[in-house]
Amino acid sequence: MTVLAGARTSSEFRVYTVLVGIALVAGLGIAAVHELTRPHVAAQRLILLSRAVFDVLPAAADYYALRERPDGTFEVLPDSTDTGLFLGVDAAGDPVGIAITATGMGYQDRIALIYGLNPERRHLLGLRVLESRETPGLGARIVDDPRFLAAFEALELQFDDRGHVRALQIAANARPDAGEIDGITGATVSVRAVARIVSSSLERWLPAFDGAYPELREGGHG
Amino acid sequence: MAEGLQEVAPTTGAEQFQAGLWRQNPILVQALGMCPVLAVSNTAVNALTMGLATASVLLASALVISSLRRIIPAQVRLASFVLVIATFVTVTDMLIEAIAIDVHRALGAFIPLIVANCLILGRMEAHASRRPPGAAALDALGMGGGFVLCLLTLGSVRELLGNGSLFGMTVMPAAFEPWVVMLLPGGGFFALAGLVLLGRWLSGTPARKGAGP
Repeated sequence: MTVLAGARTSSEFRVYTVLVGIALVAGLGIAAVHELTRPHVAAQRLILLSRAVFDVLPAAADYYALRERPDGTFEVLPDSTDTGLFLGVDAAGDPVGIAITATGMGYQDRIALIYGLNPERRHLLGLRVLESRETPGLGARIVDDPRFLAAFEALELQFDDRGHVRALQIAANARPDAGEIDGITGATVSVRAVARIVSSSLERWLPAFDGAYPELREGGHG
Repeated sequence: MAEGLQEVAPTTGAEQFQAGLWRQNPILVQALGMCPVLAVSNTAVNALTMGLATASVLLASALVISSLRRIIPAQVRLASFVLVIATFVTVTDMLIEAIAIDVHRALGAFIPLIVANCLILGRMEAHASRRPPGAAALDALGMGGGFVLCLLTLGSVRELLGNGSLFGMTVMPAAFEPWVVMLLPGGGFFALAGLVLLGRWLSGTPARKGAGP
């Protein structure tokens, strides 16, 4: 009896030691590789981001990063730091639109996307999903469904009487000139998530840009 | 599957290695790990990356688990296997993101899902946890090689027929009308069925020389 009990404790102890040991080594290994790959991953992400900015601002020849100051004005940063806000300019240095990154919850994880807004801030110029873990074959189609992405290339924003932007609507036979986008069969949740993320980001940024945009024209030249 | 595993008990190193490549090929014969096989074999690059990622996880896990086979208690062997496999999958995931972020995006959730690939867990339980590291490594190389070859064949055929290109380069004449269905999930089943059929036909014709002791 005592022998059995003793054997059980020692074996239980061994079980825990081995599992904890493996987990510890595994954790250390993952942390080390994470540290080693971090700069490379950051550099690669910046390349992807810059490609996405040009995708959602097709007329842009170059872009600057923008940062909102606490007083509501915007600071133009010359280099391509990732502030999540970018001012696209054409070859002459004139603004051709703003690219805005936004994140929100998708079906099973965060969706990060970027969309382009025209200088008058009345319609969208394009949208790209930067990061998502939606279901492969279903929700993941928000990343590359050409018809879905094309809907954002000339999407007219709708405003209520007081000038507030209305949320994007998902509709069958959608009319982009009425702020509507077509859904994707099998990707309903993910499409709704994209519409929600863009809408709340517009609510956040449109008022902020209303006062500050003229100043940005100057900044764009600098 | 269990019969297949017991039927052939390779003794020499070469047989060990060849078993996975052909006679016990994980895709053609054992039909293991089919989820990524069907899902990401739509282009040659995706298929090759997925195959290599799975094979490296298989090899690394086999080496570690084989070395720890006398230390890991039987009650928690599966938990330990999954822990080791998950570690290598996470590391592979980070390495692919650092090296080729486009492919990483294209493969999406399927790289993390290598954790749940039954081919890997199956080899750990059936082989690596019972053999010394050398034999385990040979087995993993054979199985991984067989997996890569099948995946690459599928990816190449599907990209060639579905897009007229190979590794992103257009190879078919301009008059070729791409069979878009080959890039869709259905095309994966067609191509896989064709490959298994071809494999069965090829292995069925010549008499099995070294079949069993």
